[in-house]
Amino acid sequence: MTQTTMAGSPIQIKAAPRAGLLKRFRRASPFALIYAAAIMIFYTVIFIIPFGTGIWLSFQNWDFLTTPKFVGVRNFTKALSDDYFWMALQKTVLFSVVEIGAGVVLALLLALALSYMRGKWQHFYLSLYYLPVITPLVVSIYLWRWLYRPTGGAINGLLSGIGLPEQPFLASPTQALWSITAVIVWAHLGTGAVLFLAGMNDVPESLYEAARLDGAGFWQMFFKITLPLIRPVILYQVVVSVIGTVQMFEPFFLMPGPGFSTRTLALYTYQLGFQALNLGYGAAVSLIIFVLLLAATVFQLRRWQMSWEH
Amino acid sequence: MLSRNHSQHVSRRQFLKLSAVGAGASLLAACAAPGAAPEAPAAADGSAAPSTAAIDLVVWYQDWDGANRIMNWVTPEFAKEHPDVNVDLQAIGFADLLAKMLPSIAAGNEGDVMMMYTDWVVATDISQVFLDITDPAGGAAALEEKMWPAAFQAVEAPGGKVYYLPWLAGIRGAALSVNTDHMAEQSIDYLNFKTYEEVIEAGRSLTQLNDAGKVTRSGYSPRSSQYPLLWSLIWQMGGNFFDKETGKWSHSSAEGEAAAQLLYDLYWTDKTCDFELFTSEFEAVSQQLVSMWGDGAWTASVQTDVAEVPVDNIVTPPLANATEYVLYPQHIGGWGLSKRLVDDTAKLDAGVDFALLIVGPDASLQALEFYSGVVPSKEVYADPRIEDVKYGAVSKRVAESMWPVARFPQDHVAQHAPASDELDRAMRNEITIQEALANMDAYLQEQEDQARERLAS
Repeated sequence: MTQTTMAGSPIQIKAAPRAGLLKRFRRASPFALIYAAAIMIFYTVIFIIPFGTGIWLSFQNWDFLTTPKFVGVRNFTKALSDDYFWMALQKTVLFSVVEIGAGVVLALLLALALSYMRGKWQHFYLSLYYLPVITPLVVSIYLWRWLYRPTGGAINGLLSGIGLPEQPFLASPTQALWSITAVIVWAHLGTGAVLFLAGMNDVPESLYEAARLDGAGFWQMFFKITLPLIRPVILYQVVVSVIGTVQMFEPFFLMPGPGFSTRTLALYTYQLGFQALNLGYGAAVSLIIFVLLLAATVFQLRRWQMSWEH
Repeated sequence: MLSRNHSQHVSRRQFLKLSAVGAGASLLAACAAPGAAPEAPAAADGSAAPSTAAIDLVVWYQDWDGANRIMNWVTPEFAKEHPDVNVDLQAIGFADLLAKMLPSIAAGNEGDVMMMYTDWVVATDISQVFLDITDPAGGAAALEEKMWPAAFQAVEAPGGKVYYLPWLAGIRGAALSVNTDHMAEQSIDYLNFKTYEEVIEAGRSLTQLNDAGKVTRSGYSPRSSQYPLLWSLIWQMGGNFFDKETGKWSHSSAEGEAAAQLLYDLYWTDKTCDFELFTSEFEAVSQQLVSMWGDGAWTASVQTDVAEVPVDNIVTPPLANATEYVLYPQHIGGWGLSKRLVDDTAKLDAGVDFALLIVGPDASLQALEFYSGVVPSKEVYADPRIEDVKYGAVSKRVAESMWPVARFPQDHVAQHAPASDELDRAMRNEITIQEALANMDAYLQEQEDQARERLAS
């Protein structure tokens, strides 16, 4: 294994010889084996078995009642020619990209503003913006449903109060998805801000002092110092957000827009499995979501690794 | 270091030995358990002893006060004829019963006799869900003599077989409930409405507005019943919204638009109701905020007995220009038997007898003492005791007028809420009627196609 020093000279690190698996097992403390086994059993029951069942189910036709029937890859080929699947995928991608993009930018700006505050004011504003995170999402959704009401809703009351036209929000096929996106950005803003603020606090003050001496302005320092140094935090937030947004279900289920305007893959999977009782196809769609998420995560982690090495 | 030293008190070899001994002991205990049960006494003459083992009949039913009262009457009555049957009554909340029924049936651990609603099983092949009880229950013809045939047609049943015994029906949309005090105030003879238009006219006269023109008391609210009512109106206008043969949904039609427009006008032209006055029609009735509504015939007894609001039920009358008088009564509560019982004749007979007792006249008369919905049993209403039961007369009046004109589309969509939400958006003026009907068709068609494809394969 080779690492490079700051000066550029290589340091040779001798890798420890790897003991065989059986040998390591025999050397291990019995209690370690018990503890590891407990976790493995738990993990197997709550993840590996359901996941394996999901994969098996995706190759079957099953409605809960009849004997599952093997249909090969039919459920997957069906998804490729299913307009509703592509429609749901499009909504999912659109929602995820905008939610993550807007969420990261707004959280960064908020963290930046908070980093210039000290003491109780920072705590006050941080608590304020973190409040939606600790509010149960279902409660937030019902609150926003009321705020978004086309007639008699608080937001439209505000708009008409300042002479702006009222908006249909969730009642409009073109506005519903973005109305939900705004709710999710609002709900997650505090998490991103706390993470980014922690990252910003770790940036050495000496770097800013040196930059100031060199005549750097506010935005220059932000883009040349802050942003590059908190990149791992940003990438972490993006990876976690991608997984979270693609799997997001509650807002689309509880505050849907007209027609299929807000039906994402997660909701589509639910409808296939538990409303249309088409569990095989539902499992296939959920497996496709898993593969997409895995690909997106691996891609992001590689980018992360590359930029970190860089 | 402490943990390392501590762990060395037990060697790997000792640990494996202990584990093996423990596992062996567990295995032996598990294998020996059945043998530990006391053996049945052998017959003195050496022949097999006659089976005296009682039959355990597990009954799943929806946990509500009315059902508990009915069960408390039914169980001892059943025991008189079946002393060898232990009835295990399991009251389960509505949502839990809905959630667990199909998975339990799939897993084979469902109750022997189960209360169900027909809309829980529309997306399935009912012959895979419940046992065919046509013959054990006396034959389809005999059952249809005792009960109105429409009650057996809520779900598509292959070969005209009987897979459930219909029991109670709330008939949302097919019945109207009225606050009799409000009717008396305006001297409205609600028992003699001839047309639906007369209902609307009465609703207008009953509606109260404040100086700003806001509704302060709704004369007629279709809010809880507009979705099933839309179907009845489309049929009455000579249209159709679902073709059972082709599986095609078609709310987007001249009749669909006309029916939806009629409902829309109740809110925006006739102004018998609005969306601001209350959020729940059921609660609004108890606060005397609504004079007529279509939440279901069952609400009359609840409002009268609990909220002390005097309520009566009538059948929703036909449109003045109806080409055919048809009403859609939403769903029916009934009883199905586990398919496991096919191999257990004794339990099957007990289960059928139990279900027949529940839907029969004696139990139904008990039910109508506190339930104002309808039962599908003609026998119940032919029984002279019906007039002595608190809600007997009103239930009879509604049932005898409604069941002969009842119709079910026999679709395969299990969850209608998204389509109902689209109609509600149109009623709230959030989207156009045309958009709502098109969205409803798109959703329902997708669900129907999925179900048909699954059932066909």
